[in-house]
Amino acid sequence: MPKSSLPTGTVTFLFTDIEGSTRLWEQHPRAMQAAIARHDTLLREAIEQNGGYVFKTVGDAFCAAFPTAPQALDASLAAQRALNSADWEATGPIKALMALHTGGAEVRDNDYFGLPLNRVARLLSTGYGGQVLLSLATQQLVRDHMPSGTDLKDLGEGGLKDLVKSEHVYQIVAPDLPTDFPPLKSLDTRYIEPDGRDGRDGVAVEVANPYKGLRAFQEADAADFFGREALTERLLERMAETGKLSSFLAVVGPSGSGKSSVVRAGLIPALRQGKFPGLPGSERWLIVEMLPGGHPFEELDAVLLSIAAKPPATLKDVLGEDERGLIRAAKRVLPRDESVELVLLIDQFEEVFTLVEDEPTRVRFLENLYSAVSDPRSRLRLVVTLRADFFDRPLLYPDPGELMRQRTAVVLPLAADELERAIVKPAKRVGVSLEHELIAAIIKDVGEQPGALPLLQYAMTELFEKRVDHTMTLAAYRESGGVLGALARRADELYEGLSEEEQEATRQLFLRLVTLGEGVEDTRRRVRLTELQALGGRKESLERVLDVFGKYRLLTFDRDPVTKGATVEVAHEALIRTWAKLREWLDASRSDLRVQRQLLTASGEWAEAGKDPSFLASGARLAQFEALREGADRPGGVALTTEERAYLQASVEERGRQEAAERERQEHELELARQSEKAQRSAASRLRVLVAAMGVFLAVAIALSGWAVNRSQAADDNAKQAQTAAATAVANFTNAEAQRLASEGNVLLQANREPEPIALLSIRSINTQYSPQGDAMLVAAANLEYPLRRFAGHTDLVYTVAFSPDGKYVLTASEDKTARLWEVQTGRELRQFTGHTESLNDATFSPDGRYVLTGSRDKTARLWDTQTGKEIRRFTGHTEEVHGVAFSPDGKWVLTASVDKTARLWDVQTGTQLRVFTHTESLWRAIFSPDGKYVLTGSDDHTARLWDA
Amino acid sequence: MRQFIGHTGGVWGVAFSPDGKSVLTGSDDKTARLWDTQTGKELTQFIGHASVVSNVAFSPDGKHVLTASVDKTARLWDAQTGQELRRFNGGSILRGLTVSPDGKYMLTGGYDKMATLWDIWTPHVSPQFPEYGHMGELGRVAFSPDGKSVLIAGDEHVAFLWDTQTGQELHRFAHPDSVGGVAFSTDGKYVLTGCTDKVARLWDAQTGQEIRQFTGHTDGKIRVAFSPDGKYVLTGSKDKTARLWDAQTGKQLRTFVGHTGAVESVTFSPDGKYVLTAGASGDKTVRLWDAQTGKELRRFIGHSDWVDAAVFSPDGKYVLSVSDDHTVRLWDAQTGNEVRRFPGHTDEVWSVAFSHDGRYAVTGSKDLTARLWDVQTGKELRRFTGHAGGIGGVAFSLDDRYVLTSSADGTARLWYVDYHEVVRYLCSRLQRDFTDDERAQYNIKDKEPTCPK
Repeated sequence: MPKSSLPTGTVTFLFTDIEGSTRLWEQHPRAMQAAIARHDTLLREAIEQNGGYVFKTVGDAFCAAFPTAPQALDASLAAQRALNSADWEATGPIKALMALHTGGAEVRDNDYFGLPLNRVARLLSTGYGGQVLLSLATQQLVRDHMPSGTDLKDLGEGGLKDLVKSEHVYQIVAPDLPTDFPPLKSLDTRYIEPDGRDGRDGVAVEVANPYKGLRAFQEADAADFFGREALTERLLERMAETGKLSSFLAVVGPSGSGKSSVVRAGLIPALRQGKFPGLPGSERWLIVEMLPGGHPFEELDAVLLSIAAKPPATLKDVLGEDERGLIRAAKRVLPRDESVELVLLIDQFEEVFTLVEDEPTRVRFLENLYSAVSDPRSRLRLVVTLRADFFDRPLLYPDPGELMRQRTAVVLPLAADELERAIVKPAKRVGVSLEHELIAAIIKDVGEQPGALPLLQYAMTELFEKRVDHTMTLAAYRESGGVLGALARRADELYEGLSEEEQEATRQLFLRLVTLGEGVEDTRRRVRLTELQALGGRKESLERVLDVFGKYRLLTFDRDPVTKGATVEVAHEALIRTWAKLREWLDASRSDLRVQRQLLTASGEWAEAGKDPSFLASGARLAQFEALREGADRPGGVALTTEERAYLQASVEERGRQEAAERERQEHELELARQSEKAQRSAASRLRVLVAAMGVFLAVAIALSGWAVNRSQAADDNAKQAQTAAATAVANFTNAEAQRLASEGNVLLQANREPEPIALLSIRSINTQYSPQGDAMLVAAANLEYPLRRFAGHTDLVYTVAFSPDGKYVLTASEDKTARLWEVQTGRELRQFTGHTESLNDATFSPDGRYVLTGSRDKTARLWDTQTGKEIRRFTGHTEEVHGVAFSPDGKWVLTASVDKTARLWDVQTGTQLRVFTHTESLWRAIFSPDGKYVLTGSDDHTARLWDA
Repeated sequence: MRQFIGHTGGVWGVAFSPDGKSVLTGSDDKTARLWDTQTGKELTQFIGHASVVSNVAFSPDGKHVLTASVDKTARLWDAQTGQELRRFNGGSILRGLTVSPDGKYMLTGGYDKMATLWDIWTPHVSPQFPEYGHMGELGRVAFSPDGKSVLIAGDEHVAFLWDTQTGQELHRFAHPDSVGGVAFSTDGKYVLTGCTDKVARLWDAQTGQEIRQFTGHTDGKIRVAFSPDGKYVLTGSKDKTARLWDAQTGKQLRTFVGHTGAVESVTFSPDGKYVLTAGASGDKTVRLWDAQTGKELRRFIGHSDWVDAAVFSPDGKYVLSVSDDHTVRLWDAQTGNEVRRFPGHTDEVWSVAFSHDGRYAVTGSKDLTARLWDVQTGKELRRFTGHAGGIGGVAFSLDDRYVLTSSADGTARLWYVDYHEVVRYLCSRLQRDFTDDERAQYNIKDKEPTCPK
């Protein structure tokens, strides 16, 4: 396969384009990512297997060159067949139109120039998806080489009127491909010059709005993406770096800073162009994108399958195996060609920490990612976008933490000139300009506002619609509320225009569309349409609300890649931040919502477990759910879905059954209790002890039980009901406490902290109440090492430790300017060696144990009597601090290593300096070989050196 | 002068091996390295520390290397292979490091203002058996009857016999393909293995020598069991049959035909009269056969996916089966009726074992956990968490004190059945309780000792 050099001389060009791709991008932004990746793979395969060379791609359009025309014909047939038989799922069939033309063209910088290229482009613009058109020149060359069963159909001259030289156009006819298409489009009705005006006589035509509203820029929007050129360049540079973890890059910035956009519309198109010198061949890479969602492995499975040329039914088995699952799965879907790399973009990486509920799944997913980027043979590159306020989450996991520390690129706000480009250039591309004062006003409004970019895009989108004579005006801008007000104003307008019933549906809808931020900002939440439909309101109201807010792109719609069910999502978190009405609703219902989300999760698990009664709610939790249901139908309440209501009903019924059984048992106990008043009193005092012990937690529990009393008194005026409720509340508290202790331990474990508190917390947890989390911590603690003894007494850092030759004593040297002698058996401090005027860096025993040698920041080394603690000798001469000290094995010589770049040899008896060993940087240590013949030194100059003593 | 060049950062620590032939260095490039003193050649790299290696030391026998690091850990390494053997959480940045003259203890000094003494070689409560290969999946497991060794099937063509307490390898039974089943004879003298090459093999447990092959199955992978009296060998295969063989002669005696999918597990009833098989790849049934006649007596129907294993209760009254349908089911062996389900696993359940007293069962699942069940109530008593892969093998030791698990993560682990034993072990290792500061920090209100006095 020719890949390295472009065919020259007379060449046949094949151009392709996807029909209606802009519309598809709008409707299925996520599914299109996968579909396009798949389309690219299929096309590339068809072209390269037939000897062609892809020399350019523009969005989803391919430009390829072939040495001979029959090869190009074969390639186009193969490509159409592959596209035709692929299963496209959510996007519906992806149809590409293709055109072939043959001629001579000039090659410059790995690209072609010349008239034949314009020809083939024009020819392409007259066709339809699924069609292959040939120029006369190509037809002449292939007509005698048609593959069996295929034929050429003469379409006449219709399509190419505006070309100087009018000629016939042909279409390939094959039995297994569609053959009937409408008449060719004539160019003059379709072709619009890039400046937004019709090509012929300046009549204005409908121009597409170049601003993107609230949605992030997609790859297909690259042409309208301005202001991030420098950042894109920087991201490319980071990707081109080499080193162990260089296949990973995290793009981190606050919400609305344009992380996703710069990756999708800046970085990815640049990779596809393959022009960045540090990343040669990137135009051949496969690029896929995913959101983690609650089930990241399933998402991963879906995107990997989307690029597989011959996809297996699933990759889940491979992915689920172990931490190398992703490496293996990628290997399976990637083509053999080693130069093809896979770029996996994980957008909204924070979902791994907010939506994935199962910790083992999260850990396994992170481990898979880490293995994939740290394996030197892996062909996978990982780019993630992460909201800045979640930056600390990956740091809690050692390996991903290391990735984040080393491989993060930060998205900063746009500089003024960049901002101006982002405002002005998209309009300019379609021939619309901005009033000068308007530009200044917008820049001032956006200014330092964090996360204002989506608001800006939204305001610009609205403003573009209100343009007058190709100009966007300051007046219209002020009227729409400016950058900061446009979005909220639009949301309010839409809301006000709805009926009362629809307004209530709007409130219920948006309350479901938010993930409550515990301590951080609220975020948006993807919701299945079926969940919204089950809320019980009128179907028509919901549909109208979705329609109205969707039309103005405040909501986006998609399909769940796993279940294929429709989903709804707030277009951008900016709406949650700036729409005052939504903030009011959220604040008013926050506590209800929290309970409702628990109910949602619980009812989902229950349904998944085949309505297993052990998944039903009980105790205080159930009481909370019931309160929520009672409030649901009141104004301001949070509506519940039919599934949630069914779960609640089943839980209440189960409680009834259990209470009946419990009452029977208690009847018996109460009888015994009545017989002994004393027993009752002690029970009461036990409860009081509990109350005292549990403090604030119990206040909650008691409040709940009191509430349970009020409720139950109506039905059954019996005090023991209250006791039951209190007991349940206490049980719930106990369980929560056990888990809290376990998780405190886990935090310490993850941070390599000292082992004792980890063990103590895990024991406390399991003794409070058994929980799987406490058990896991207990087992983890059992695998740690525990110290036998600690020698405590120094008042500052300990730098060095040494055993006496008989192993009975320990010597320590500390920043507190002392060395100390300890007894191993008892841990008792026996002696201090004081006299150094600065921190001690090192200390050691003489081989016979009679002397102690110390080295200090005060530039001296000193010899002490172990027994008396008295200083015997001082070795002076170093001009900087002494880091290391050592005795020769025969005890006659002393060696010192210093920051002054030398090690020095001294006579123990006289204290005279005998030799100097010199490095080019400071020394840390110097020691003797066991036979005393050599001296070994280690230095900041990165070397260790061996010398003859 | 000789230079040792290779570190990409400053050299903080240096040490000679006790024989002087090699030199050890620790660097702020996060590695420690071993060099040949004479040639200056790099011999081993010790990679793993997350920060500067601030100090290095040799064990007195020169076989092990110890390192201290700014990452707050000290680590023990095999000097030859560079493999990390143990990790000591110092709790603060470590700078000082030395080994006692007898090689038993290590002393560290750090930013916590203390020197700390460690026993380098304390036996662990739950030895984690050595990892074999990188991708090596471990499957079925069996305890030797005396409990001193464990037998584990590996997918890299090997069955291992490991010392239960130390995790040391005793024998390695090599096969031409991956090993799917393992069993010990009741007297502990023989080991039986089933291999994907369609052959079951009998080995001498003492010498590790192969004694006999049982050939006849037409497809792998082979599951195996001994009859309680040790006279017969039972095998199950992907060829949908189970077969009975004479252990002495290797002659095939009977074939159990009827399963419509692979036979995923085989076992004898405690009295040796019956044979129990579990069916996979579309079969979904457990079947009971007469060992004498080969006649099918009963079917246990209900699982909605592959059945991965089925075992008898020790009294022979019950059958416990686990399946890819995520359920664990207890059946009446007499009637074939389902008695109880053990709810909890969230993914395929791969393995099951009864405790020898019949009170407990343990199951291993793809959900990364093994779970201990009260057979009477079906309640989950404990969850064994720690494996990073699905758990394909579980077994109780003969005294029911330990559970052994083996996993697709390439490791096998030993667990105390009673977690109180873990608590006791930890309390024996702990030299202190919470400090007052720690009690405040972790919101512990009482003053009670954490470990009983």
